[in-house]
Amino acid sequence: MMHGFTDQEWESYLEGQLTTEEQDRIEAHMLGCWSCWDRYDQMNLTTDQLHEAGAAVRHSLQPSERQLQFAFRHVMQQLRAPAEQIQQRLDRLETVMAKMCGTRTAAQALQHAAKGSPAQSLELVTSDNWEPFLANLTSLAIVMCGETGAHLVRRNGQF
Amino acid sequence: MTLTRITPKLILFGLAIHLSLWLAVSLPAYMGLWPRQNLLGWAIRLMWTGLALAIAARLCLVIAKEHRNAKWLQIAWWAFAVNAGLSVFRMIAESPVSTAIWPAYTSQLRGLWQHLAIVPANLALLIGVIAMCHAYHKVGLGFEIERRDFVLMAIIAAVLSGLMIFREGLTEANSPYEVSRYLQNIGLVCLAIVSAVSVVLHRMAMQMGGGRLALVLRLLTFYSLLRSVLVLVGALRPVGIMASIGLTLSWQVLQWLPALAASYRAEMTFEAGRDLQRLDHQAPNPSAVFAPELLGTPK
Repeated sequence: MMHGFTDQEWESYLEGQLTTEEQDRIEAHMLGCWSCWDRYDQMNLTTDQLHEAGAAVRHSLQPSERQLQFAFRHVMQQLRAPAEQIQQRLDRLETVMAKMCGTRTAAQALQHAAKGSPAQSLELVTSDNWEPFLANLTSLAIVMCGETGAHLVRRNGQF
Repeated sequence: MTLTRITPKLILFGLAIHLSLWLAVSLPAYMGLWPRQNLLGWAIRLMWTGLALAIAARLCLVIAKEHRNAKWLQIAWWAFAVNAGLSVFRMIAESPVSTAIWPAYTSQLRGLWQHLAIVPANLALLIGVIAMCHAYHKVGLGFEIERRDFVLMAIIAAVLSGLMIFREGLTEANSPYEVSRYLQNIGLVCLAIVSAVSVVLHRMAMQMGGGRLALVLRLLTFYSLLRSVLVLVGALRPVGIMASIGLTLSWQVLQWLPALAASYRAEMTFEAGRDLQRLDHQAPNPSAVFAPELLGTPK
Protein backbone atom coordinates (compact mmCIF):
# COMPACT_ATOMS: atom_id res chain seq x y z
CA MET A 1 0.00 0.00 0.00
CA MET A 2 1.43 3.36 -0.96
CA HIS A 3 -0.41 6.66 -0.43
CA GLY A 4 -3.78 4.88 -0.37
CA PHE A 5 -3.12 2.80 -3.53
CA THR A 6 -2.53 -0.98 -3.48
CA ASP A 7 0.22 -2.71 -5.56
CA GLN A 8 -2.55 -4.35 -7.57
CA GLU A 9 -4.00 -0.94 -8.42
CA TRP A 10 -0.57 0.35 -9.52
CA GLU A 11 -0.04 -2.70 -11.78
CA SER A 12 -3.50 -2.38 -13.28
CA TYR A 13 -2.84 1.30 -13.95
CA LEU A 14 0.40 0.49 -15.79
CA GLU A 15 -1.41 -2.15 -17.84
CA GLY A 16 -4.21 0.33 -18.61
CA GLN A 17 -6.81 -1.90 -17.02
CA LEU A 18 -8.39 0.56 -14.55
CA THR A 19 -11.71 2.34 -15.00
CA THR A 20 -11.55 6.01 -16.05
CA GLU A 21 -12.59 7.11 -12.56
CA GLU A 22 -9.81 5.12 -10.84
CA GLN A 23 -7.29 6.23 -13.47
CA ASP A 24 -8.19 9.89 -12.86
CA ARG A 25 -7.80 9.44 -9.09
CA ILE A 26 -4.22 8.07 -9.46
CA GLU A 27 -3.17 10.70 -12.01
CA ALA A 28 -4.58 13.51 -9.82
CA HIS A 29 -2.50 12.18 -6.93
CA MET A 30 0.69 11.94 -9.01
CA LEU A 31 0.42 15.64 -9.99
CA GLY A 32 1.06 16.55 -6.38
CA CYS A 33 3.24 13.58 -5.28
CA TRP A 34 6.80 13.53 -6.59
CA SER A 35 7.70 10.11 -5.14
CA CYS A 36 4.67 8.44 -6.74
CA TRP A 37 5.45 10.08 -10.10
CA ASP A 38 9.05 8.82 -9.84
CA ARG A 39 7.85 5.30 -8.99
CA TYR A 40 5.42 5.35 -11.91
CA ASP A 41 8.19 6.50 -14.25
CA GLN A 42 10.55 3.69 -13.23
CA MET A 43 7.88 0.99 -13.42
CA ASN A 44 6.74 2.23 -16.82
CA LEU A 45 10.30 2.12 -18.14
CA THR A 46 10.83 -1.43 -16.82
CA THR A 47 7.58 -2.65 -18.35
CA ASP A 48 8.49 -1.18 -21.73
CA GLN A 49 11.93 -2.84 -21.59
CA LEU A 50 10.35 -6.21 -20.74
CA HIS A 51 7.90 -5.94 -23.65
CA GLU A 52 10.73 -5.09 -26.06
CA ALA A 53 12.94 -7.95 -24.83
CA GLY A 54 10.02 -10.43 -25.05
CA ALA A 55 9.31 -9.42 -28.64
CA ALA A 56 13.00 -9.85 -29.57
CA VAL A 57 13.13 -13.34 -28.03
CA ARG A 58 9.89 -14.40 -29.77
CA HIS A 59 11.28 -13.19 -33.08
CA SER A 60 14.58 -15.06 -32.67
CA LEU A 61 12.75 -18.31 -31.69
CA GLN A 62 10.36 -18.43 -34.64
CA PRO A 63 10.08 -22.31 -35.24
CA SER A 64 10.45 -23.71 -38.72
CA GLU A 65 7.85 -25.97 -40.35
CA ARG A 66 10.01 -28.97 -39.61
CA GLN A 67 10.40 -28.04 -35.96
CA LEU A 68 6.66 -27.62 -35.67
CA GLN A 69 6.09 -31.08 -37.23
CA PHE A 70 8.60 -32.62 -34.86
CA ALA A 71 6.95 -31.00 -31.86
CA PHE A 72 3.53 -32.11 -33.09
CA ARG A 73 4.74 -35.69 -33.53
CA HIS A 74 6.20 -35.67 -30.05
CA VAL A 75 2.91 -34.48 -28.56
CA MET A 76 0.97 -37.13 -30.51
CA GLN A 77 3.35 -39.86 -29.36
CA GLN A 78 2.80 -38.79 -25.79
CA LEU A 79 -0.95 -38.96 -26.31
CA ARG A 80 -0.76 -42.34 -28.09
CA ALA A 81 1.69 -44.00 -25.66
CA PRO A 82 -0.90 -45.67 -23.36
CA ALA A 83 -2.77 -47.19 -26.33
CA GLU A 84 0.45 -48.62 -27.77
CA GLN A 85 1.44 -49.94 -24.38
CA ILE A 86 -1.92 -51.74 -24.10
CA GLN A 87 -1.53 -53.23 -27.58
CA GLN A 88 1.99 -54.45 -26.79
CA ARG A 89 0.72 -56.07 -23.61
CA LEU A 90 -2.18 -57.73 -25.43
CA ASP A 91 0.24 -59.06 -28.05
CA ARG A 92 2.48 -60.44 -25.32
CA LEU A 93 -0.46 -62.14 -23.58
CA GLU A 94 -1.55 -63.69 -26.87
CA THR A 95 1.96 -64.99 -27.53
CA VAL A 96 2.25 -66.49 -24.03
CA MET A 97 -1.13 -68.24 -24.29
CA ALA A 98 -0.64 -69.35 -27.91
CA LYS A 99 2.48 -71.30 -26.96
CA MET A 100 0.41 -73.34 -24.51
CA CYS A 101 -3.06 -73.63 -26.03
CA GLY A 102 -2.76 -72.49 -29.64
CA THR A 103 -3.08 -69.24 -31.58
CA ARG A 104 -6.81 -69.49 -32.20
CA THR A 105 -7.62 -70.30 -28.58
CA ALA A 106 -5.42 -67.44 -27.39
CA ALA A 107 -7.11 -64.94 -29.69
CA GLN A 108 -10.55 -66.25 -28.67
CA ALA A 109 -9.63 -66.08 -24.98
CA LEU A 110 -8.58 -62.43 -25.28
CA GLN A 111 -11.81 -61.54 -27.09
CA HIS A 112 -13.90 -63.49 -24.58
CA ALA A 113 -12.16 -61.91 -21.58
CA ALA A 114 -12.68 -58.41 -23.00
CA LYS A 115 -16.33 -59.11 -23.77
CA GLY A 116 -16.98 -60.11 -20.18
CA SER A 117 -15.17 -57.06 -18.77
CA PRO A 118 -16.33 -53.41 -18.56
CA ALA A 119 -14.43 -52.79 -21.82
CA GLN A 120 -17.00 -54.95 -23.69
CA SER A 121 -14.60 -55.45 -26.61
CA LEU A 122 -10.86 -55.94 -27.10
CA GLU A 123 -10.51 -52.63 -28.98
CA LEU A 124 -11.87 -50.75 -25.98
CA VAL A 125 -9.52 -52.25 -23.38
CA THR A 126 -7.59 -49.45 -21.69
CA SER A 127 -5.48 -49.08 -18.57
CA ASP A 128 -8.66 -48.06 -16.71
CA ASN A 129 -10.50 -51.34 -17.39
CA TRP A 130 -7.37 -53.51 -17.62
CA GLU A 131 -7.69 -55.24 -14.24
CA PRO A 132 -11.15 -56.82 -14.74
CA PHE A 133 -10.06 -57.84 -18.26
CA LEU A 134 -6.92 -59.51 -16.90
CA ALA A 135 -8.92 -61.23 -14.15
CA ASN A 136 -11.27 -62.70 -16.79
CA LEU A 137 -8.36 -63.83 -18.92
CA THR A 138 -6.69 -65.49 -15.92
CA SER A 139 -9.90 -67.43 -15.18
CA LEU A 140 -9.93 -68.73 -18.76
CA ALA A 141 -6.21 -69.55 -18.57
CA ILE A 142 -6.77 -71.59 -15.39
CA VAL A 143 -8.83 -74.03 -17.49
CA MET A 144 -6.80 -73.91 -20.70
CA CYS A 145 -3.25 -73.65 -19.29
CA GLY A 146 -3.50 -74.82 -15.66
CA GLU A 147 -2.60 -72.85 -12.54
CA THR A 148 1.05 -72.22 -13.39
CA GLY A 149 0.18 -71.21 -16.95
CA ALA A 150 -2.55 -68.89 -15.66
CA HIS A 151 -0.12 -67.33 -13.21
CA LEU A 152 2.31 -66.72 -16.06
CA VAL A 153 -0.45 -65.05 -18.07
CA ARG A 154 -1.35 -62.85 -15.10
CA ARG A 155 2.28 -61.87 -14.50
CA ASN A 156 2.75 -60.94 -18.14
CA GLY A 157 -0.38 -58.82 -17.99
CA GLN A 158 0.53 -56.85 -14.89
CA PHE A 159 1.73 -53.26 -15.35
CA MET B 1 14.57 -88.71 -10.44
CA THR B 2 12.49 -85.54 -10.39
CA LEU B 3 9.40 -85.33 -12.56
CA THR B 4 10.93 -82.44 -14.51
CA ARG B 5 13.34 -84.91 -16.07
CA ILE B 6 10.50 -87.01 -17.49
CA THR B 7 10.35 -85.19 -20.79
CA PRO B 8 8.68 -86.41 -23.99
CA LYS B 9 12.18 -87.15 -25.34
CA LEU B 10 12.88 -89.44 -22.41
CA ILE B 11 9.57 -91.23 -22.92
CA LEU B 12 10.36 -91.76 -26.61
CA PHE B 13 13.83 -92.96 -25.66
CA GLY B 14 12.28 -95.44 -23.20
CA LEU B 15 9.90 -96.67 -25.90
CA ALA B 16 12.81 -97.12 -28.32
CA ILE B 17 14.79 -99.18 -25.78
CA HIS B 18 11.72 -101.24 -24.92
CA LEU B 19 10.93 -102.09 -28.56
CA SER B 20 14.58 -102.77 -29.39
CA LEU B 21 14.95 -105.19 -26.47
CA TRP B 22 11.66 -106.90 -27.28
CA LEU B 23 12.53 -107.28 -30.96
CA ALA B 24 16.02 -108.56 -30.10
CA VAL B 25 14.50 -111.28 -27.92
CA SER B 26 11.32 -112.01 -29.88
CA LEU B 27 12.50 -112.05 -33.50
CA PRO B 28 14.63 -115.20 -32.97
CA ALA B 29 11.58 -116.83 -31.36
CA TYR B 30 9.39 -115.91 -34.33
CA MET B 31 12.06 -117.30 -36.69
CA GLY B 32 12.21 -120.55 -34.73
CA LEU B 33 15.70 -119.96 -33.33
CA TRP B 34 14.32 -119.66 -29.84
CA PRO B 35 11.54 -121.49 -27.96
CA ARG B 36 8.11 -120.23 -29.18
CA GLN B 37 7.01 -119.71 -25.58
CA ASN B 38 9.14 -116.59 -25.30
CA LEU B 39 8.91 -115.80 -21.59
CA LEU B 40 11.83 -113.36 -21.74
CA GLY B 41 10.00 -111.33 -24.38
CA TRP B 42 6.87 -111.27 -22.23
CA ALA B 43 8.90 -110.26 -19.19
CA ILE B 44 10.46 -107.35 -21.12
CA ARG B 45 7.02 -106.33 -22.33
CA LEU B 46 5.54 -106.50 -18.82
CA MET B 47 8.39 -104.59 -17.22
CA TRP B 48 8.60 -101.74 -19.75
CA THR B 49 4.88 -101.22 -20.31
CA GLY B 50 4.39 -101.37 -16.53
CA LEU B 51 7.03 -98.66 -16.19
CA ALA B 52 5.39 -96.53 -18.89
CA LEU B 53 1.97 -96.82 -17.28
CA ALA B 54 3.34 -96.10 -13.80
CA ILE B 55 5.01 -92.93 -15.14
CA ALA B 56 1.74 -91.96 -16.83
CA ALA B 57 -0.23 -92.47 -13.59
CA ARG B 58 2.24 -90.36 -11.57
CA LEU B 59 2.32 -87.52 -14.11
CA CYS B 60 -1.49 -87.54 -14.42
CA LEU B 61 -1.81 -87.09 -10.65
CA VAL B 62 0.56 -84.11 -10.74
CA ILE B 63 -1.34 -82.57 -13.67
CA ALA B 64 -4.63 -83.09 -11.77
CA LYS B 65 -3.09 -81.11 -8.92
CA GLU B 66 -2.19 -78.36 -11.39
CA HIS B 67 -5.91 -78.15 -12.26
CA ARG B 68 -7.07 -77.83 -8.66
CA ASN B 69 -9.27 -74.84 -9.57
CA ALA B 70 -10.75 -76.39 -12.72
CA LYS B 71 -12.91 -79.20 -11.30
CA TRP B 72 -13.72 -81.04 -14.54
CA LEU B 73 -10.12 -81.12 -15.71
CA GLN B 74 -8.99 -82.31 -12.30
CA ILE B 75 -11.52 -85.16 -12.57
CA ALA B 76 -10.31 -85.89 -16.12
CA TRP B 77 -6.65 -86.22 -15.11
CA TRP B 78 -7.54 -88.25 -12.02
CA ALA B 79 -9.50 -90.58 -14.28
CA PHE B 80 -6.51 -90.90 -16.64
CA ALA B 81 -4.33 -91.73 -13.64
CA VAL B 82 -6.80 -94.44 -12.56
CA ASN B 83 -6.84 -95.78 -16.13
CA ALA B 84 -3.05 -96.00 -16.20
CA GLY B 85 -2.92 -97.61 -12.73
CA LEU B 86 -5.52 -100.24 -13.62
CA SER B 87 -3.73 -100.89 -16.90
CA VAL B 88 -0.62 -101.91 -14.91
CA PHE B 89 -2.79 -104.44 -13.09
CA ARG B 90 -4.18 -105.57 -16.44
CA MET B 91 -0.67 -106.06 -17.85
CA ILE B 92 0.21 -108.27 -14.89
CA ALA B 93 -3.08 -110.18 -15.15
CA GLU B 94 -2.78 -110.93 -18.87
CA SER B 95 0.92 -111.71 -18.99
CA PRO B 96 2.03 -115.36 -19.49
CA VAL B 97 4.73 -114.49 -16.93
CA SER B 98 2.00 -114.73 -14.27
CA THR B 99 1.07 -118.21 -15.53
CA ALA B 100 4.72 -119.23 -15.41
CA ILE B 101 4.90 -118.13 -11.78
CA TRP B 102 1.51 -119.60 -10.83
CA PRO B 103 0.69 -122.73 -12.93
CA ALA B 104 -2.94 -122.89 -11.67
CA TYR B 105 -3.54 -119.55 -13.38
CA THR B 106 -5.31 -120.89 -16.48
CA SER B 107 -6.04 -118.90 -19.65
CA GLN B 108 -9.75 -118.67 -18.69
CA LEU B 109 -8.87 -117.35 -15.26
CA ARG B 110 -6.44 -114.98 -16.92
CA GLY B 111 -9.23 -113.69 -19.18
CA LEU B 112 -11.47 -113.10 -16.19
CA TRP B 113 -8.88 -111.09 -14.25
CA GLN B 114 -7.85 -109.27 -17.39
CA HIS B 115 -11.40 -108.04 -18.01
CA LEU B 116 -11.95 -107.29 -14.35
CA ALA B 117 -9.18 -104.72 -14.85
CA ILE B 118 -10.13 -103.63 -18.38
CA VAL B 119 -13.74 -102.63 -17.60
CA PRO B 120 -12.97 -100.14 -14.79
CA ALA B 121 -9.93 -98.93 -16.75
CA ASN B 122 -12.08 -98.22 -19.81
CA LEU B 123 -14.73 -96.62 -17.61
CA ALA B 124 -12.08 -94.35 -16.10
CA LEU B 125 -10.83 -93.45 -19.59
CA LEU B 126 -14.41 -92.70 -20.65
CA ILE B 127 -14.96 -90.46 -17.62
CA GLY B 128 -11.65 -88.71 -18.34
CA VAL B 129 -12.39 -88.01 -21.99
CA ILE B 130 -15.97 -86.82 -21.30
CA ALA B 131 -14.84 -84.61 -18.39
CA MET B 132 -12.11 -83.06 -20.56
CA CYS B 133 -14.49 -82.38 -23.45
CA HIS B 134 -17.00 -80.86 -21.04
CA ALA B 135 -14.37 -78.64 -19.38
CA TYR B 136 -13.11 -77.19 -22.66
CA HIS B 137 -16.62 -76.81 -24.07
CA LYS B 138 -17.84 -75.07 -20.91
CA VAL B 139 -15.11 -72.42 -21.08
CA GLY B 140 -16.94 -71.03 -24.12
CA LEU B 141 -14.05 -70.36 -26.51
CA GLY B 142 -15.95 -71.47 -29.58
CA PHE B 143 -15.10 -75.18 -29.67
CA GLU B 144 -17.78 -76.73 -31.87
CA ILE B 145 -18.52 -80.22 -33.13
CA GLU B 146 -18.97 -80.40 -36.88
CA ARG B 147 -21.34 -82.62 -38.85
CA ARG B 148 -18.54 -84.84 -40.15
CA ASP B 149 -17.53 -85.53 -36.53
CA PHE B 150 -20.97 -86.95 -35.84
CA VAL B 151 -20.60 -89.12 -38.96
CA LEU B 152 -17.22 -90.38 -37.77
CA MET B 153 -18.59 -91.06 -34.30
CA ALA B 154 -21.46 -93.04 -35.82
CA ILE B 155 -19.04 -95.08 -37.95
CA ILE B 156 -16.87 -95.91 -34.92
CA ALA B 157 -19.92 -96.91 -32.87
CA ALA B 158 -21.26 -99.03 -35.75
CA VAL B 159 -17.96 -100.85 -36.32
CA LEU B 160 -17.49 -101.70 -32.66
CA SER B 161 -21.16 -102.70 -32.31
CA GLY B 162 -20.66 -105.04 -35.27
CA LEU B 163 -17.70 -106.51 -33.45
CA MET B 164 -19.95 -107.28 -30.49
CA ILE B 165 -22.60 -108.91 -32.70
CA PHE B 166 -20.01 -111.17 -34.31
CA ARG B 167 -18.23 -111.64 -31.01
CA GLU B 168 -17.13 -115.20 -31.74
CA GLY B 169 -13.86 -113.55 -32.78
CA LEU B 170 -13.42 -112.14 -29.30
CA THR B 171 -11.13 -113.93 -26.86
CA GLU B 172 -13.73 -114.46 -24.13
CA ALA B 173 -16.62 -115.47 -26.40
CA ASN B 174 -16.27 -119.08 -25.34
CA SER B 175 -15.07 -118.53 -21.78
CA PRO B 176 -16.49 -120.89 -19.12
CA TYR B 177 -16.92 -117.82 -16.91
CA GLU B 178 -20.14 -116.13 -17.95
CA VAL B 179 -19.04 -112.94 -16.24
CA SER B 180 -15.98 -112.81 -18.53
CA ARG B 181 -18.20 -112.69 -21.61
CA TYR B 182 -20.29 -109.88 -20.14
CA LEU B 183 -17.24 -107.99 -18.96
CA GLN B 184 -15.64 -108.15 -22.39
CA ASN B 185 -18.81 -106.75 -23.96
CA ILE B 186 -19.10 -103.99 -21.35
CA GLY B 187 -15.44 -103.14 -21.90
CA LEU B 188 -16.06 -102.94 -25.64
CA VAL B 189 -19.08 -100.67 -25.21
CA CYS B 190 -16.97 -98.34 -23.05
CA LEU B 191 -14.17 -98.43 -25.63
CA ALA B 192 -16.63 -97.65 -28.44
CA ILE B 193 -17.96 -94.65 -26.56
CA VAL B 194 -14.44 -93.50 -25.65
CA SER B 195 -13.37 -93.72 -29.29
CA ALA B 196 -16.44 -91.83 -30.45
CA VAL B 197 -16.06 -89.09 -27.84
CA SER B 198 -12.33 -88.77 -28.52
CA VAL B 199 -13.28 -87.49 -31.98
CA VAL B 200 -14.53 -84.38 -30.13
CA LEU B 201 -11.12 -84.03 -28.48
CA HIS B 202 -9.48 -84.22 -31.90
CA ARG B 203 -11.84 -81.53 -33.24
CA MET B 204 -10.99 -79.28 -30.27
CA ALA B 205 -7.29 -79.84 -30.90
CA MET B 206 -7.75 -78.77 -34.52
CA GLN B 207 -9.71 -75.68 -33.50
CA MET B 208 -6.99 -74.58 -31.07
CA GLY B 209 -4.59 -73.67 -33.86
CA GLY B 210 -1.49 -75.42 -32.54
CA GLY B 211 0.08 -75.26 -29.10
CA ARG B 212 1.23 -77.88 -26.63
CA LEU B 213 -2.28 -78.66 -25.37
CA ALA B 214 -3.48 -79.54 -28.87
CA LEU B 215 -0.67 -82.10 -29.11
CA VAL B 216 -1.76 -83.63 -25.79
CA LEU B 217 -5.38 -83.90 -26.99
CA ARG B 218 -4.25 -85.49 -30.26
CA LEU B 219 -2.19 -88.09 -28.41
CA LEU B 220 -5.16 -88.93 -26.14
CA THR B 221 -7.38 -89.25 -29.22
CA PHE B 222 -4.80 -91.48 -30.90
CA TYR B 223 -4.59 -93.62 -27.75
CA SER B 224 -8.37 -94.12 -27.66
CA LEU B 225 -8.73 -94.81 -31.37
CA LEU B 226 -5.68 -97.08 -31.62
CA ARG B 227 -7.07 -99.26 -28.83
CA SER B 228 -10.29 -99.76 -30.76
CA VAL B 229 -8.44 -100.45 -33.97
CA LEU B 230 -6.18 -103.03 -32.29
CA VAL B 231 -9.16 -104.78 -30.65
CA LEU B 232 -10.83 -104.86 -34.05
CA VAL B 233 -7.74 -106.18 -35.84
CA GLY B 234 -7.18 -108.73 -33.06
CA ALA B 235 -10.77 -110.01 -33.43
CA LEU B 236 -10.16 -110.53 -37.14
CA ARG B 237 -7.37 -112.94 -36.15
CA PRO B 238 -4.66 -111.87 -38.60
CA VAL B 239 -2.38 -114.61 -39.89
CA GLY B 240 1.33 -114.48 -40.62
CA ILE B 241 4.42 -113.64 -38.61
CA MET B 242 4.62 -110.04 -39.81
CA ALA B 243 0.98 -109.36 -38.88
CA SER B 244 1.52 -110.94 -35.49
CA ILE B 245 4.70 -108.92 -34.84
CA GLY B 246 3.01 -105.73 -36.06
CA LEU B 247 -0.01 -106.25 -33.82
CA THR B 248 2.12 -107.07 -30.76
CA LEU B 249 4.38 -104.07 -31.39
CA SER B 250 1.35 -101.80 -31.77
CA TRP B 251 -0.08 -102.97 -28.43
CA GLN B 252 3.25 -102.16 -26.80
CA VAL B 253 3.51 -98.72 -28.42
CA LEU B 254 -0.06 -98.04 -27.29
CA GLN B 255 0.87 -98.42 -23.61
CA TRP B 256 3.42 -95.58 -23.93
CA LEU B 257 0.94 -93.08 -25.38
CA PRO B 258 -0.64 -91.97 -22.04
CA ALA B 259 2.87 -91.35 -20.65
CA LEU B 260 3.81 -89.38 -23.77
CA ALA B 261 0.62 -87.26 -23.59
CA ALA B 262 1.09 -86.63 -19.87
CA SER B 263 4.77 -85.74 -20.34
CA TYR B 264 3.89 -83.12 -22.98
CA ARG B 265 1.26 -81.65 -20.64
CA ALA B 266 3.69 -81.71 -17.71
CA GLU B 267 6.37 -80.06 -19.85
CA MET B 268 3.90 -77.25 -20.57
CA THR B 269 3.62 -76.56 -16.83
CA PHE B 270 7.36 -76.90 -16.35
CA GLU B 271 8.08 -74.35 -19.09
CA ALA B 272 5.45 -71.95 -17.69
CA GLY B 273 7.11 -72.25 -14.27
CA ARG B 274 10.52 -71.56 -15.79
CA ASP B 275 9.20 -68.47 -17.61
CA LEU B 276 7.69 -67.29 -14.33
CA GLN B 277 11.08 -67.64 -12.66
CA ARG B 278 12.68 -65.63 -15.45
CA LEU B 279 10.08 -62.91 -14.89
CA ASP B 280 10.71 -62.90 -11.19
CA HIS B 281 14.52 -62.89 -11.51
CA GLN B 282 14.55 -64.56 -8.15
CA ALA B 283 13.86 -67.86 -6.39
CA PRO B 284 10.53 -69.53 -7.26
CA ASN B 285 7.55 -68.36 -5.30
CA PRO B 286 5.88 -71.56 -4.00
CA SER B 287 2.47 -69.90 -3.82
CA ALA B 288 2.70 -68.99 -7.49
CA VAL B 289 3.38 -72.49 -8.75
CA PHE B 290 0.72 -75.02 -7.95
CA ALA B 291 2.70 -78.05 -9.06
CA PRO B 292 6.18 -77.44 -7.61
CA GLU B 293 7.12 -81.03 -8.54
CA LEU B 294 7.26 -79.82 -12.15
CA LEU B 295 9.30 -76.74 -11.47
CA GLY B 296 12.81 -78.05 -10.92
CA THR B 297 15.74 -75.68 -11.07
CA PRO B 298 15.98 -72.86 -13.61
CA LYS B 299 18.44 -73.31 -16.46
